Amino acid sequence: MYENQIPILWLALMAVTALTASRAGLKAGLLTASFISVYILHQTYSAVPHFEDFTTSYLSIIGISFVALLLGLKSNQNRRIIQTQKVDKIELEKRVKVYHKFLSYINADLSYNLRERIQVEAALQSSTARYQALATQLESITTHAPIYIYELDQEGRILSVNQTYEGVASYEVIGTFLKDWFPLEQQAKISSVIETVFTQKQAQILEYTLPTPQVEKRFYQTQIAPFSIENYPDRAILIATDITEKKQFEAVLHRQALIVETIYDGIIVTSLSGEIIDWNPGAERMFGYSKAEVLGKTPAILHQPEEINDLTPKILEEITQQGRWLGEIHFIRKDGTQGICETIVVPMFDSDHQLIATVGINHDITQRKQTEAALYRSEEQWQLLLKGTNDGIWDHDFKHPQYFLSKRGYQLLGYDYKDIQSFQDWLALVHPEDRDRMNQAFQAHLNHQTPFYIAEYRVRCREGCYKWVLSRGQAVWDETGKPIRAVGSIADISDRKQAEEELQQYQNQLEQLVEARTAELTETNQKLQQEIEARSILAEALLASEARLSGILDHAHDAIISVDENQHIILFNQGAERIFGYGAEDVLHQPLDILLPQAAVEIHHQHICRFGQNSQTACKMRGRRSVLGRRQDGTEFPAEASISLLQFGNQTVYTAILQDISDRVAAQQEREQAERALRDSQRRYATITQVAPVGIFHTDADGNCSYVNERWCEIAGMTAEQANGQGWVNAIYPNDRPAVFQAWVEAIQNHTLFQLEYRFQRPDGKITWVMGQAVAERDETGNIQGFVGSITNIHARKQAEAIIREAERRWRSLLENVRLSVVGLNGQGQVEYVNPFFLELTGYTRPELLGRNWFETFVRATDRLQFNQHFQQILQQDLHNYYQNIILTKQGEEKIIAWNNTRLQSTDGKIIGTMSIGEDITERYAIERMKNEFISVVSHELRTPLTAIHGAIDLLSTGLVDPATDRGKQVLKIAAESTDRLVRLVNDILELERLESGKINLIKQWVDAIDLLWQAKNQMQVMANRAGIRLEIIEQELEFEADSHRLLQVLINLVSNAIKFSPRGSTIMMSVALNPENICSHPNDSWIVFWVKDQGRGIPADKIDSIFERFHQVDASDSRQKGGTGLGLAICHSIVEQHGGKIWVESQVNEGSCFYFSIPPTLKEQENES
Amino acid sequence: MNPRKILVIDDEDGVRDIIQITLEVVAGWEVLTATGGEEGLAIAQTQQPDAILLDVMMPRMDGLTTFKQLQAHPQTQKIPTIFLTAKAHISEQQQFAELGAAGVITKPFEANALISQIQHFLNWTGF
Repeated sequence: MYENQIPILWLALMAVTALTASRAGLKAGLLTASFISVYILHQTYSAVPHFEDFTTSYLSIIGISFVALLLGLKSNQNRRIIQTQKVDKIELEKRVKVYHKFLSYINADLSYNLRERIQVEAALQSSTARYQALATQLESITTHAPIYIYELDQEGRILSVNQTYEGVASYEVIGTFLKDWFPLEQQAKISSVIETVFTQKQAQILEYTLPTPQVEKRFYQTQIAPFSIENYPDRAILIATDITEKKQFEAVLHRQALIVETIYDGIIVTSLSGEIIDWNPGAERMFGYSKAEVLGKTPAILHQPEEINDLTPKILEEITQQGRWLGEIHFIRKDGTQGICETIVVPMFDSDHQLIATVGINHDITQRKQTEAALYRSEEQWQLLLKGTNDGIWDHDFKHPQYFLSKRGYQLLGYDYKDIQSFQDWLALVHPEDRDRMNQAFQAHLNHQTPFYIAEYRVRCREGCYKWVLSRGQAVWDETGKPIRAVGSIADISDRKQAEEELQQYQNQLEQLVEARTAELTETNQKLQQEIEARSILAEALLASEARLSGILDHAHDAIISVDENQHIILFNQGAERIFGYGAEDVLHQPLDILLPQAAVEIHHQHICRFGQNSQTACKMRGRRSVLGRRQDGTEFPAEASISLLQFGNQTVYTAILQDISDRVAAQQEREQAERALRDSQRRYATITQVAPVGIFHTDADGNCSYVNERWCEIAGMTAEQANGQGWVNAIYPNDRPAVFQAWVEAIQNHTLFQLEYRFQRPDGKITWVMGQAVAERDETGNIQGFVGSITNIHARKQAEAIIREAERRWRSLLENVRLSVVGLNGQGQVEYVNPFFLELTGYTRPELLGRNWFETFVRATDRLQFNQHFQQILQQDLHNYYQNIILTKQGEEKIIAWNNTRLQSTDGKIIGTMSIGEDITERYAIERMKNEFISVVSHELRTPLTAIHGAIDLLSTGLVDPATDRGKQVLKIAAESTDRLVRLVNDILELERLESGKINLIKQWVDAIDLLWQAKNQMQVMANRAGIRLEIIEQELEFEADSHRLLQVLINLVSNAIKFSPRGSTIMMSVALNPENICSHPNDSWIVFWVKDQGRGIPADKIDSIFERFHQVDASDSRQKGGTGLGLAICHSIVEQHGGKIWVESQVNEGSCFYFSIPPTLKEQENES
Repeated sequence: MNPRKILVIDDEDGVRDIIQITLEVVAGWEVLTATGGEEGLAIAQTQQPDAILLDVMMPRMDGLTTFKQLQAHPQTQKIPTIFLTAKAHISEQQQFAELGAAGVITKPFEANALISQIQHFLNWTGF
């Protein structure tokens, strides 16, 4: 029971608690909880005895308390909040009331203000609209470009805009800084300008450029001005106009102005009233006046008054009609000089197309006019030249194919202009044989090989024949040397050429021509005769052959004219047409008279009558004489005519065949002239040959003599008849004939002159030297027709030459062979001739010396000046015929030459140099010098002991020293020793002299070598002992032939020297040997060699050669000191040499010397040695 | 007065001795001798003779060289030097004089001539 009731109870209690707590608050809740708890406890205690079972009770108590607590707190809280809210609410209600009052006041205010504002806005809008309209109007007034008007505040902020750029909205701009719309580099400037506006309260103008998105930079001009309205004192207004077009326009204007300024022509702007209102620098330059000087003046100052007055109205008229005037005007510059200019005058209109001014553009053509005038003159000259000259002028411009030939040029050859147009055309007309020659000449000139071009060649005329022309010209080259043009003239030289040819022909074939012609004429005559006869025979067959006849007639070269009985022409062939110049129609039925000269008409009639009476059928009119015919143009010409008579039934026809012999007549006349000239020249020639001082001869081509003159005969010693044919060959000296013929043949072959010196031998045997010259006479083909030559007597000359040659040969032989120097110098001291001996002496070769300066080559530098002076004196004054000088050989050796000088003169007395003969006296000098030296040395050597002797004797004889005293004894001893020395010296000198001059004859003895050595040792023993030196002999058995006394002398000398120069205690060795190879090298077998060896102080190598000389300077004093004479070794040398042997030494300084001498086993016969 | 000291330089014994005897006996002067140039120089410097007789032709150092050496040394510069020569060319004597020699004597000579010439120089008190 209890158990079940408890939980429900507990729940109920809990609920009560909860309720109370939540309603009445915390305190109530807790109170309730505590009561309940007590109750519970009570109940429990009563039910349950133990406290341990109070667990559920305790739990329930705790639970209830907890609930109570919780809810109580919450309830309390709520209560507080409600309380607070209540208070607040009351407060709020109070406040709302106050606000509500306040707001109603404000509302009333606001509605009033609102009304006012609407009004103001309306005004503002209208003013904005006005303002906008004003801005637009402003735009249209100034330019058609947009104007931007901005309002700026102090800091440069944009407050309002009237319009913006495309693509940018207003609201994007307003409020921004103006400078931010500019490129960075301009911003600083903008800012500073704005600042300036505000600080200085002054408007500022600014120009800038801005790139826009669409187009390139646009230029803007902006004015920023301070601007204040009532409430907004510090504002600025910015007005920006787009001045791009204006700028472009300005640029164009500037360019145009520049053109006017810089243009070379003079531009003058003249107002309608005639005053100059503009003047460019070109005009300044052209006229000389400066702008300031001319403004306001009329252009009349620039021209002749009359001229300009006439011209001005015309100009204006033309401008009005044609729009401009163009012409040339003379003008006067400021400095008075005149000129011409080409002027264009154009009108200047304003925008209404009214004429306001004229602009004249003047181009100075003064220079051009002058050039034109010069050119015109030159052209005139050229035309005159062309007309005046008889020659054709050709102009070949290499750059153009055209070939210019003057009219006369065409005329010369009978061509038209169109016949020769290019150089090729011309070339084609040149005769083939001459083409190359012409071309070569032309090319040669083009290549600068000839100063001008000249050529003669043949050119084909229109008629087909060739004419000779002379073409001369000059080429023009450009800077590179290339020919660009050639100009020249051609002249008709056919006449001259023809004359030349004919003259040539006539000289050679005079008679033949005449004969040929005669034969021809006879032949022609005969032919005519035959023809006429044939014609008469064929009279019946005339009809059948008429066609042939007319053909003949037509083609006949001669004129064939037939006349009827009445002398009227019935037949006139083409030949006649050509000859007479008439057409056949013109003359038919005309009387024959028209073809005859006036003078001949009458005579002719008579002849006709006579002829008619005579029944001969053919004869020549007037025989062989020529008739005269008259051409259509009235000229008369000679002709040859023959007439025949034909009978046609009862008709009589006279036919004449006529030939124009004017050429022939002319030729004949020329021939006659030539013949006369030839005869004259022949006569002259004959005269010359007769009087010439040289022999002249003619031979034919084969060498047959046809003519010799008198002089030739004189020289050759034969008559002209004898010389004829081959006889002249006999005149030539037989030995020379081959040479003459050879030279003759060579001359022919080489087309050269024959020239040779050879001998003639006269019949009496006399020889004459001649010089023969001959030249071949050739015809035009180069074949020899004969020879003509001369013989000159050169015999005298030849003889003279021979003499000279001989003389020269002799002289030359002398110079070449003499043993003296021969030197020839020219006036400048240069070597012209040296003989072989001189070359030998100096060691040069001839080519090395010719032309060299004597003084520089041979004379020592120190002597040059002096000898040059001598040389000049020789040349000018002929001094110094004999002197000596020193010359240098090629090796530099000095030679003393004694010269004999002469100066040379040319044939006209001019001094041309010197010739000198010299003797080499070097040896002589050397010998002299040696002799002098020897004497000097010897005299010194002699004097020395003499001094001692003299002094000693002097002392003793004058009693200054008593001989008995010690002093005296010493003096005597000195004297005695010196005397000895002197004696020895003199003996040695004499001995040496004798030996060397060969006066001593060696005594041939049979000598024992050992014996000799011992003798020497014995003789020197005492001296050796005194010097403390040992003498040793190495024995060798030898016998030979020699002068034993002399050899002993040698040994003693050598040992004596050895002792003198050896130190104490040393040893001297002597020995002899036969052909001792181991001791010395000797070329000969079986020679005996002696040697003396010491241990002395030796001889220096450079002195070894000289110790065998007399008084050798090495240590002569030393040996003298030790009693020597300085001649010992020289004597030994002499003795040994006399035996035919050799003496030499081998030595080492400070060690010793070994003297050797060799003797041949048998003494040869000694020749005297000088 | 001190006896005069004369130095004789000559390689020839005979000549030297004779000169020595001549000067000693005849003039009573003290004579110093030298056989060569070097010896002579040494003696001249140490002994300071009043005059020097100098032979020209000597081996090794000849008279001319010796004389130049004497001139070079201040101690011996002022000593009058007389050349002795066997060569009698006047041109050579002039040459010696130009060099500064006090005199030249040719061999052979007179004793008196020698002495008097030396005397002449000894009486000089200086140059």
